[in-house]
Amino acid sequence: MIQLCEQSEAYCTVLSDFYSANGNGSQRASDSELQQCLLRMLKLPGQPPVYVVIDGLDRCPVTRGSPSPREIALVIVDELVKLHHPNLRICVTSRPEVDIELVLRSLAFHSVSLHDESGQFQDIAEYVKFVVSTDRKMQRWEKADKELVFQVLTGKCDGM
Amino acid sequence: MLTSAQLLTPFPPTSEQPQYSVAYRSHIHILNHDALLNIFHHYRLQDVGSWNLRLAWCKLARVCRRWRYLIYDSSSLLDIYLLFTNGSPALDSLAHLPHLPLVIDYCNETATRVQQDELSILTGLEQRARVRRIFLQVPPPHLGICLATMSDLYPILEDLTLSSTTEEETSMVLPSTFSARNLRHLALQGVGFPTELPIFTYFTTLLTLTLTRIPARYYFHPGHLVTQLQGLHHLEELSIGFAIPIPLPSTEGDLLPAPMPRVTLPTLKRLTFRGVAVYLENLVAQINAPLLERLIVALFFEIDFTLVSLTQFVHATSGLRCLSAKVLFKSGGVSIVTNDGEFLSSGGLTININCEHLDWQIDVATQCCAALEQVLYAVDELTLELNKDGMPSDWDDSLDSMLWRGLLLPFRGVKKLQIGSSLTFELSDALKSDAAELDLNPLPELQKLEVQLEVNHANMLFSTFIETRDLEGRPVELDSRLSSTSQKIQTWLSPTDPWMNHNIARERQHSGTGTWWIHGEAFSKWKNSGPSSLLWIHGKRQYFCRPVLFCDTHKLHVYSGSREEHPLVRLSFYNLSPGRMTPHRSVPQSSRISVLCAFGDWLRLHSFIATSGRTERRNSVGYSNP
Repeated sequence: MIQLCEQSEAYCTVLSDFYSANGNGSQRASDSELQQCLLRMLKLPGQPPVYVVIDGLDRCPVTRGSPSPREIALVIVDELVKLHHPNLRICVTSRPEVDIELVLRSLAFHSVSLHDESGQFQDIAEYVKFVVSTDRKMQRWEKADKELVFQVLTGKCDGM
Repeated sequence: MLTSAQLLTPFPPTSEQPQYSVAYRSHIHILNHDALLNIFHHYRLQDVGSWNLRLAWCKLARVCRRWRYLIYDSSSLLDIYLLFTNGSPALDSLAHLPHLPLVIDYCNETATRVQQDELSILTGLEQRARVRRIFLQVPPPHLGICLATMSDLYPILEDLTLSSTTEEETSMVLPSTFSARNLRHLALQGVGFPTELPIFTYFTTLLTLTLTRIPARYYFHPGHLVTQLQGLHHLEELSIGFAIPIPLPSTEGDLLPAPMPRVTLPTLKRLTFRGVAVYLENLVAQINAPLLERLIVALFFEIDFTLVSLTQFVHATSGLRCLSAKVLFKSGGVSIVTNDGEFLSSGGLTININCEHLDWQIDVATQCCAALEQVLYAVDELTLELNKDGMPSDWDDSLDSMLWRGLLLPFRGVKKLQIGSSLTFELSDALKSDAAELDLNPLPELQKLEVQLEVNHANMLFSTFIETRDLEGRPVELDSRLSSTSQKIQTWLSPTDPWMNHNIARERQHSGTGTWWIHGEAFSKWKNSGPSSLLWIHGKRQYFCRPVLFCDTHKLHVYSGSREEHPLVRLSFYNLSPGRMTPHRSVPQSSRISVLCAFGDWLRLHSFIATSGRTERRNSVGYSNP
């Protein structure tokens, strides 16, 4: 939200009103209030595209509270998608855990499985090759062993 | 006609049908053990909190004999243990269950509450062969009673934390006959560690060692500590903290010479110290930590600091490189943090010095920074802040501007200076150039000055400095874009800084990787897609069944991690018998290679191969010890 405010005065006005409504910062805003404020900001017309990137959603815990932080995050993603905002783009990265897959599979405009991407394989091969050929400690290794490491790591990495 | 394999693999859910469709049904008994264990694992993940606390796994164990045996046989894999915590049932009431590992986890500030649970704690501690984890945070009398029972071998104990709830000095100490050959984490807080107990013999598997609030009577010399540490080849985190400033200045002379050659701690990533500077100097003069990422130091106040060894140590440790620095003055002390210490995952140095008055804080910070000048000259961005909460109302009385100039002098390479709102007036005064002080001109490389003030006000305060620098041909741009309201909102929301992790990732990115994605069709399509379109990038599901690593006499590991500072591939080879390294050319036919690789902080794959051939070639590999 702070980042959005740096982009436009209209966003600033919404956040400033929200700040005033919370006793000029004397009250602590709840998560749902913050979420509503974000939605109000996103609904403002005439703004440039907004990209929301949620990295590592599977790292959001499922063990604390009910609903858990991950469930809350998934609900937020669901609401953002259902907002059908013309200038909003959302990108989520995560492992395909069962609960995440259940929600995102149906919401996603497009899903990418990294371990199926040839570019990912090439990146890994490139990186392994770089390290095997430049790592100081591996300089003592015989060429055949370096080759074995390269083959095993690139062959078995399965895109990871 | 669909094959049975196609029938078993349901079609993925769609927006029309969000659930998996069931195309094939069968009895659950056709599932093999691996499949069942995977299902049990997912069942556990649904409510991890209840799994052991409320014995949720018992529900599965009651289904049938096969499940019961499978669950009991896989207790380690399924993370099953008997948990003894505040108010949990006594061990006797669980006698009908098999001999599962025990976890004792008690945290009570009040003696009355502890008294009620004391019998359970002691009964648990006496089951030495079964105790896997102990966490006790209780008042001294009760902790002392528990310690008295711990005078023997705990063969499967992995994690031990004993913490006294009082700050007062006590005589509690870990029994010198205590041993735990599989201990990975040891933390003693307010409890002494007996100097006669050899860490390197009894705790060789330690990953973290925390000895804090060490009572004065259990003080140990840094040389003794280093001797103990040199046998810990896997130690990743070390915390040493003394309860009071010790040794006293009268006996500091014993510490001044650093007599021994340096000991390398090959896996240490995080070092925390609290004590007097002379002890720290002696300690860091004796160690090398090539993989160290974060050094956190809290020093008791002294009038004069000598930090020569610390400077050399930081200078020699690449993970502690200082790219940015923040000096924060606050009630109780001053902090010097490089690479922003709020993000503990990033590498850097943090020095806290206990001290009350602001002029003293500036003085000790100046001494510290001057001592570390060799490493601070690389700092590009400097932030100076003051948190007025808890400071005396006259904190800014009689502050000499020369104090501030002295603080800024060591930062010769700073290009951007950020000044917190509370210090704007002090620093504007200090930065005003004086012809007589040209030889003390601070921040010669400065290009940008960021202050949190209205534009006009900022221009007025810093005009002299800006004009002087213009005349000298070293212009400085004044940035005062933050209005007071937006600043207050930012403080109120206190958002995390996404650029920190972004910058770390960019620094570690291998050049050229990921361009296929940035220039790819999928990314481009998403950027130009319709309303609220969601792009989901995923990897593979985390493997549940970890590979059973080795049963053989010898091990050969190859592993890597993109988040760690380790090389991508490292070979380590060791004999299972502690202390007996087998020469690298005598790897037997039964040696195996495991590959553990991780590429990305949210995608982690543990893949495993076990090979039996090509031994000869591997035998010629030059191995390095871990």
